[in-house]
Parts: sequence; C-alpha cells; structure tokens
Amino acid sequence: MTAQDYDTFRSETRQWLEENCPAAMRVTPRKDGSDNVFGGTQFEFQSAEQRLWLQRMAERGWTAPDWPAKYGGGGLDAQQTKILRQEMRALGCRDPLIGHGLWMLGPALLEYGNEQQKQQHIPDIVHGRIRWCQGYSEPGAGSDLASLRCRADDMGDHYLVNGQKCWTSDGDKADWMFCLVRTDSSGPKQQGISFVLFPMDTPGVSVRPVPLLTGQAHFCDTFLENVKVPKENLVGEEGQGWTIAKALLAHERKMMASMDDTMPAPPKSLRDYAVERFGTDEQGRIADVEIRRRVIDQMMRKKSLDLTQQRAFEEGMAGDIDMRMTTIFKYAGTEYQKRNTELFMDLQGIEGCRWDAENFPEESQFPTTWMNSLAFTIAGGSSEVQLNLIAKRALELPQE
Amino acid sequence: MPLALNEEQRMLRESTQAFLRDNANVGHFRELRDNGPGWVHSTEIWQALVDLGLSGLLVAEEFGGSGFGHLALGAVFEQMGRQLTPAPLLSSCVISASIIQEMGSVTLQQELLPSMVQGELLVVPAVQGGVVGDLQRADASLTDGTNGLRLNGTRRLVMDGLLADKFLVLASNSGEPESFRMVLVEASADGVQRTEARMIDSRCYADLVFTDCPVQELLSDRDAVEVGRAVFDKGSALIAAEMLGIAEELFERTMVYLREREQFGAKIGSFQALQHRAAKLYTELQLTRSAVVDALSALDEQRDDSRAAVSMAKSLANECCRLVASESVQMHGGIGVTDELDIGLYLKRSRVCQNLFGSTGYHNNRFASCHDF
Repeated sequence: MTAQDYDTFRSETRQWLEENCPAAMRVTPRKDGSDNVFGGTQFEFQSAEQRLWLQRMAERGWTAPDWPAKYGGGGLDAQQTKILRQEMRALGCRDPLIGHGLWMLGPALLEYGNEQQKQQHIPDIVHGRIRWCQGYSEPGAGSDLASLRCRADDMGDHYLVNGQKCWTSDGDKADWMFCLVRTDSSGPKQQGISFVLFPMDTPGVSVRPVPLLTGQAHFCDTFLENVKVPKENLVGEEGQGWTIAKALLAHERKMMASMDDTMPAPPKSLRDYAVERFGTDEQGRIADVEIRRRVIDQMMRKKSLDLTQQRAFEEGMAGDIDMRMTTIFKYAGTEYQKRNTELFMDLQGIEGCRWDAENFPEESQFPTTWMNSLAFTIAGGSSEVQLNLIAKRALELPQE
Repeated sequence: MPLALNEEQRMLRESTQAFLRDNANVGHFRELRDNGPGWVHSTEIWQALVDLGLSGLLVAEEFGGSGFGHLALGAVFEQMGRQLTPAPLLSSCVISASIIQEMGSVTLQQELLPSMVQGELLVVPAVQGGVVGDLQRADASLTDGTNGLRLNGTRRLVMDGLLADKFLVLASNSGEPESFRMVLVEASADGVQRTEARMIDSRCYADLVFTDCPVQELLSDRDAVEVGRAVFDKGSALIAAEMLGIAEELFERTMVYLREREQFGAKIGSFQALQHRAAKLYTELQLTRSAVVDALSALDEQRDDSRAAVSMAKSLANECCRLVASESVQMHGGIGVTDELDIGLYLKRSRVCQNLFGSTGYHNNRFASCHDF
C-alpha cells in the first residue's frame, strides 16, 4: 500500500468510527476494568450500546484487526492496525472486546492450530461468543512453569487429564480453557508438555474463585479430575506445548507491557492531580519538590517507554531492528505501572487509600488499580524471570 | 516523527563507524593523551573528519555543507562516543556555525562558514563549561566606547578554547535580559588571555580573560539569547548522542568481560546477581536511545515540543551514563579502577559530559516547566 492508501484508510476509518461508535462507548471506562467487555456465554452486557459496539466492530473483524479475514478477522496489515488504534484513541473509543481469546489463544492458534481448529475457534473469539481462560500455572509450577505436573494419559482417541491449575483468570466465567499438560515425564521437563483445549463444562472440571487483595476474585483454582479431552483438541504436535506456551506468553507479555495504553487514561494527568493537590509556587512549579521530582521521573519514564515501542515498530518497518530489544517491554512496562499507581495514590494523600466505591467512585479506583499493578510484575513471567530472559536472550550471558 | 534512521543516515552511521574504528579509536586517544601536552587533539583526525563531510552536516549547501540534519549528526556523535574520538566538531561546526547561520550577516556567513566547514577556521563559543545552563551570565561585559565595542571579563573551561581562531561571546553592557548581544572576538586580539585548563577527560579546555578586547557584533533582528537557547538545545541533544555511544560501548565491553571472566569456578556472567543488573542496564539503554533519537528528530522537524524532548534526552542520557559507567567499573572489579583498562577513559569522558550542556537537575527543571509545572 502507498502512503496515500494509508491516508485514505485513515480518513475512512475515522468517518466510520464517528458514525458507528455510540457516544456511551466514548466515555472513559473505569480504571479498575469493571465495565470491560469480555464476551462469552455468561457475559451480561451492561448496556445496549456495549452490545451494539461489539456487534459493529466484530462484523468488520475489527475486534481482531490484524487477523486473517477468512476466519473473521479484519485482515489489516500492521500499519493499518496501528492507524485504527490511533483513530480509536483519538476519538476515545473503548475497546469493544478484550480477553484471553483475543490476546493469547487467537494468535497461538493462527500460528500452530490446524485448519479445523482455526475454523472452529477463531470466528467465535472475534465475535466474543466464547470466553477463554488459561490453564498454565500450578501450585508447584509458578515462575518455573516447565516443571508442571498436570498429566494427560493417552487413552487412544482421547487424553485423560488429572491435576490442578491455579491463577486461572476468570475460570468461573470462561467457556473453554487452553491448557498445558504433561504427556511425557521421561525426558527434559520442557519436552513432555502438550497444549490442549477443552470446554469448562466437561465432566471432572471444577473451579473455585480465589479472592485477591482487591476483594475481587478474577482468579480461580481449577481442579481437573479424569477430564476427557478428544485428541482433535491437541494443538500442534504432542510434546510441542512448551514452544506454543512460550509464543503465547510472548503475546501475553506484549499485552501487559502496554496495559497502560489499552486502559483508558485517568480523567486527569499526574501533573494535574499534583498541581491540584499540592499547589504551585510563584514560578508555577509544584510546591512539593519531592512530588514534583517523582512526577517528572514518571512522565519521562512513560514517554521513553512509548517512544521505545514506537521505535521498535519503525525500525521493524525499516528493516533495521535489533529484535533483542523487545525483551525489555514486559519488565519495563509493568514496573513503570507499579510506580505510577503508587504515585497516583500518594497524590491523593490519605484519601488515596479510600475504598468505598459507592460514595467515592473516583478515589476508590486508585487502591484497586495499585493492587492490580502488584500482580502485573508477577503474572506472565515475574520481573525476575524477565530479567533472566533479557540476560539470556538479549545479552547472551552464560547460563549455569 | 521518525525514530528509525533512513537509508542515507544508516550509510553515514556505518561509514563513520568503520572509519573511526580504524583511524580514530580509543587506542589513538590513549596514545595522544600519553604523548601530548596533557590534553588531546589531533589535526590528522580533525582533517579526516572534515574530509568525510562530518563538519558540514548542519551547514547549508550554499556554504559548503550538506544540511543532513540532527538525526544524521547524532549518529556520528554516537560513534564518536563509542571511539572517544576527540574533535572540535560540536564547538565550531554545531554551536558556532548555527549561531552564525542564525544571526550573521550574509557577508559574515560567506566569509566564515565555508572555511569552518573546511576545518581551516575554528570558531568556538566562549561559554562556561560548554554552558552549565544559564546563558545570561554577567561575568563578561560589553562597553561602548569611543574606540568601538569592547569586551571585558572571564570565561572558564571553554571547550576547545586553546584551538580557537575566534570566539563567539554572548555578553551585555548592563546584565539586563534584553541587553545581551552576540559578538565575535579574534583569539589573537590584544587583551585575550587564554590559559590551558585541565579536565578529567583530557580534552582541550581553556580559561579565558578578556581585557578591553575589540569585538565585532553579530547584528541581527533575532534575539541573541533566544538564538543562544535554541543552539544550546542542539548541543544538549548531540552530547546526549555522544553519551549514548559511550554508554553502549561501556556496556558491550562489560558484557564481554562477564562472558569471559571466571571466579568461583564459573563465568561471572552466569551469576544471577550480575545478570539482573546487566539486564537493567540494557533496559535503561533502550529507553535512553529512544529519547535521544526522538530529540534529534524533534530538532530536525522543529517540533513545538522539541525543548521538552531535548531535556528529557539529556536527563536520561546523564543518568543512564552515570549508572552504566559506575556499574562497568564495578563489574570489572579491581582492574576497573586501573588506568590500563579503557573503561576508565570512557568513565572520565562520560562524567564530564554529564555536566556539559546542563546537568540532570537543570534538564529536569526545564522539562517540568515545558509541561507547565
């Protein structure tokens, strides 16, 4: 496509968004994510506009803009996808749909799934008909994920799965699980892992929500007892699970690194909150020098992170990119978010710890957001695992 | 807002890299330091850089330059940082050439710029330590007398001061903000006294005393202080690019050491304590690079937010360099504090750069005021 084609695409996209995105879907969603659209059979839309916006976007495949059109995706190239996101952000359009299907399973299926699996699952993800959860961690396999023990015994035409998964995001609300299981325990731990899919209503699957610091229970313990998984639900080859898991984790990390962008900006910037709360001196500087310094640091951090994502994109397009740099995004992004939510709370003073959502809906988002940010530096590979990864992949330092 | 180099810029980066690696590297720097007068300069290296066209990257074609721009020149400074290449490129061909292009009469431009691009004439800004921040210093004053405009006062730690043929000075007769004027002083004029000043990076600096010196004013409708500030931005961004090169080089050398050095029966790079610190340095380097490239790009495009972008770049480059340099010494252990190892040469240059063209505190403040807090 020529530069002119992209310009045309941009103006057509803007016009379409202006005409089709309901006004209620251009209002900043709550920072704690409570009015996001996850889809699935159990999901209840909070408004007609939510439903309509999802419908309209899904019809164009724009819930998954860069997936192939033959499976219901938008069929856009990287530049068009970027333009769409930019235009959505410019108009304040909410994401019509989010979740593990879009972020993780979809990309993994497109890469490793067979034709039948793609046809069965991808369109359902695009339209938000099926909600997916992830069966990765186990009580004894967290950061050391490859040591997982949930076993799948070969029963001829199906596997019999037994074990326990934990930190299953929204396991109680999901329709299907993509799950890592051990099909072989004789060799190195990474080699006997397989990647399977099954519905959550399969007999033998039970879930128990685990309340977190936030009081919410996004995570579940999932118990698998003699769960029958037909062999056509094996993705890739038997024993290829670790490769797929890693690819999928890369998608998860990418998503988490830019969580801040997928989440709407808070109604006021750090700077505005700080000026409002602490006032300014006669030169217009935030009166509290320590707070001012932290606001400067955080603004620079955020700006340089955004620029680095942008630089990776542009260098990629120019064919002059050192791919090793992409290893930093999950670590740098989530650590930034943690410090940022902390500072947002500090800007409110003691009010920042207020947690009565009914009377103080705005203030009470801050503690929740902060507590969530503590999980982001752990989930999807902790910061320490990320640093190991940078040292190994990007810096090629000797391994023990 | 390009953050990736185009083909032309990449070619420049690669040819500069190859040339400096072979002809103006850290080994040459050490040799010049050990056999020179106590500060480093090489006319051969300078002439070679001129022959490569590096002295004309910010100068318009009509004066013999190429007008390639800041992003291109930044790639050059980065490579000079990597090799510790000494040259009066920043003082004469960036700062002074830009001021003359902005404020000089056509006659003056035609008279000076072509020979500056040719490297035959060195015009150096007489600003304290390459400017520590405040351009409107009252330490040099102008007087209008019967025998014309005269300059009195001092300027210390003037970059490339011993090499200069002429100095550019921003001075005033009263210290009032509007009264500052940009003047040219012949280095050989009566009343110019220059003394060698030693700095830890072994580059060329001079302390200057002006006593009733005749000067030539750059008459222009441009405000001299405003031009000074705009040119200060160029200097800050390019020093940041040099620092990025220094930090990258220090980091890569340190990674090589971590892969080779053995203690406790293992390569020390296999220790997680060091791996995590290395990974954090790498992260900082990536973020700093983006900020530096963005600042250079902002100057090329004359973007509204270029001042904030430059301040962010210099602030991040300062802190990144500080961290990488001290960690590089630490990870090399005892040999890291010897003169034998090149690490120390980079450490010293980077330490000076942290204070050239604005410290972290200065740029943080300026960044905040750009964002109205």
